[in-house]
Amino acid sequence: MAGVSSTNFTTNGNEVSGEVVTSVTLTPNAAGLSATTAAGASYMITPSLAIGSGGFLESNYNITYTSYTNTITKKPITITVTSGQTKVYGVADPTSYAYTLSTPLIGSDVLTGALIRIAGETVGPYAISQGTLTNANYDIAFVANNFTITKKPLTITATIGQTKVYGATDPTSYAYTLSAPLLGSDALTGALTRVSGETVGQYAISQGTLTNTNYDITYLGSDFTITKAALTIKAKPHTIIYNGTAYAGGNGVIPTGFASGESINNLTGTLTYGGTAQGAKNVGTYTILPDGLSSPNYNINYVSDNLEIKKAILDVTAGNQSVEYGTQLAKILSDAHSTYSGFLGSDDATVVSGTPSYLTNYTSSIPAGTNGIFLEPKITGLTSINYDFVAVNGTITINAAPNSYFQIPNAFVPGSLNEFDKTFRVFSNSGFPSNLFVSLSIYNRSGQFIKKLESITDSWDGRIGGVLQEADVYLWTATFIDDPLTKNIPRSGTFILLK
Amino acid sequence: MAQNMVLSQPYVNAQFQSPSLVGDGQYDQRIQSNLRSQMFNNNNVSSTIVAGWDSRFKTKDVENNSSFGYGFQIMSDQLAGGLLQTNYLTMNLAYRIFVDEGKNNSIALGLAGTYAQSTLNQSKLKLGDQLNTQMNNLSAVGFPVSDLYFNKFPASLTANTGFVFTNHSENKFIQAGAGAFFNTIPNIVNNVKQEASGMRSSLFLNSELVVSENKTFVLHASYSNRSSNASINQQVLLGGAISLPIAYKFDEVRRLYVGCYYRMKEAVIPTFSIMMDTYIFGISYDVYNNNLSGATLKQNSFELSLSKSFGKKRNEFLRTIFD
Repeated sequence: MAGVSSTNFTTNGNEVSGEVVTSVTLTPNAAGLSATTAAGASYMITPSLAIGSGGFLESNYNITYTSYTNTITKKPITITVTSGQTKVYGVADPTSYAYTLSTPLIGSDVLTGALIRIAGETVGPYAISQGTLTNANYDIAFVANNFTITKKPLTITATIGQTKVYGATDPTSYAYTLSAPLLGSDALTGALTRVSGETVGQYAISQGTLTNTNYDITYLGSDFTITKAALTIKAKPHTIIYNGTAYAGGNGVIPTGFASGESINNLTGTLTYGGTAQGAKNVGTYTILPDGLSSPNYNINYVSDNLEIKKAILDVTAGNQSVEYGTQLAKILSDAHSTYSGFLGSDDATVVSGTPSYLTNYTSSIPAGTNGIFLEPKITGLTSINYDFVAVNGTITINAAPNSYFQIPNAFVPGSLNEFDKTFRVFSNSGFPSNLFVSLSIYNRSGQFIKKLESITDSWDGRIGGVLQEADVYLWTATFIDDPLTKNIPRSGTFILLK
Repeated sequence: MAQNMVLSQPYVNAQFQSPSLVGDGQYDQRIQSNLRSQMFNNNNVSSTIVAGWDSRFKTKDVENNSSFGYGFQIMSDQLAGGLLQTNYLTMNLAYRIFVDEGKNNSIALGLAGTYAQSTLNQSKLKLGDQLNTQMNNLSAVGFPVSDLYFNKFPASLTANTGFVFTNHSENKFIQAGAGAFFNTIPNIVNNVKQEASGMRSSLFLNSELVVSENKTFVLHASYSNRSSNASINQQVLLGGAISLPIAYKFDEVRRLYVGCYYRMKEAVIPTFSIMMDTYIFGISYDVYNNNLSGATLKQNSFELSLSKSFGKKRNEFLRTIFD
């Protein structure tokens, strides 16, 4: 369409002085009239109807209007990629990247194609380039910008309640949970760490080196707890022999459960002992219970064991006796007595109950001077809570009694070549008055009288009526006169006729 | 009765009485034993153990009027507190003939062989030469005694024989026999002149009669003597008992026997026995009345006896304390 322009024309300057062309009417041809004519097309603008000042009148001039011809050029336009375009790691790109135009497109013009960016899906900036975005009618100036992939938010939460016992090794890794699964084959590298320390307590678990560059990690920590180890301190059993004194202390302990390299020296306090053993004195079984030790790193369980006090040995010694030959066994036994040796502490004979009876190989017919005659205390009748008894034999010394100036054999051999053996007779001490012997009567085993010897020189040759009697046991009774010749003492015994 | 040893209940031990009594029991087999201890003033005079077993060869022919009995007996006689111990092993055989159709009457002849072995405890021996040495304060006393040589293994083998007549029925048992024995203690010393002890002969009578309602009366008498010995070695035992029945069936005969025996010139012997089916147990105590009896001398003899029969009972004759 035509229009009046005061600027888009020039004159050759031939106006009359004072007059000036101030405007002309410019009329384009058809090409020049369309705003949507494609660039490159030719057009022509023709001036007319010049108007001037200073008295200018077109009619005063022979005006040649010269048309202007030219070609339509591309419209300059600037595409500016919108800054700040982002996506979170793992999310799909937008369908197109945003941009602004320096001027609106003409009419219904549109840009074809699309911006593109440098390929990549990990976190980082990626330059957005013009790609295929264009329009042939525009001279496009492109201002690039970056598309940014931002980290994906991820929360790592250290698992609550992770513990170990004192002395144990840490787990190979500390446990955690993720707020969401990692994408694809993603994995976290590194590991959680905790505050160093090995004593009982709580240690914060930190993120340590655990990370992934594609994630924006939020770490929620917790504590790793080292709990007390179980330690058993058991008393050593103790067996002692009764010693008459009150027991105190213990026999040491047997600890089980110490961490490697540690011992009872790592505990504090002083080992003490309790239980029924403390102050125990008498034979029996008591408990020893250790105590007194402590440690921040151990739960200590004290276990008792037994103190066994066994009986001590008490010697029961039969008193020696010195008796006359022929003393009756009953008197030996009635005179028997014992002494005790081996009492401990303040003990004495009052701690023994019962009295010993006695065993002996003594008989009233054992001749004076015979050795090996013992008196054994029979300890079965004795009791004591703290003692076992050991019998110690006493000895019985048989001395010659007044009537043991006579002795009678327990066998004889009729026909023996030994004059002392061939008859049964009474033997007397040399030099002792033979008149102290009264008589000796001989009987067979049925008590039937055989012969009476009425003097110290009398004897029996084993015959009755000239007939040698059988080898058998025979009985005798004898009567002697005791010194000082005031009392008859009957004696009796047995003998064997050997042949 | 056959040996030097004395039993207060010899009548309950068949083989001790006579070899002719083996196989004479009412049952197929029997074991009979006696244990006796004699003390004198706290001195052990003797401890005697006698145990025997006997049976007879069985015959299926009930009409057979004869049988063989056989048995053995072990005796141990320990004298003077163990100074001398003699053990006897006797093997007995008897041939028995019934002389009537009812088999109430029989005669039997027995033969026996006895092996005897003695042990002398020299550690307890106190011979005259030892005492003489001691009394005269001479040097040490020891063994062997110079002129003695003790047999290391005193032993002997002798023979015995016996004869018995028996009348046995449902209410009567009468048995009379005689025996001859040669066994004695073996020679202990081997360098002295030995003199034979001679034969010991014996007579015995065993009788048990039903007097009323199965009550019985028991009579036993025995006599023995060594032919070469004086009369002091004669043994006469005489006595009887009354039995009171507790039960009386074929295989269940139970009686209490209360009796008293007298060993002549020696002892009165109260005896109590009980028969319980196949068992007979007896206990006796000798109340001495001999030359040694006196207020200051103590004599004691106890004896226990135990018999046990086995096998099948052969008839319904009177079961007696002698069985």
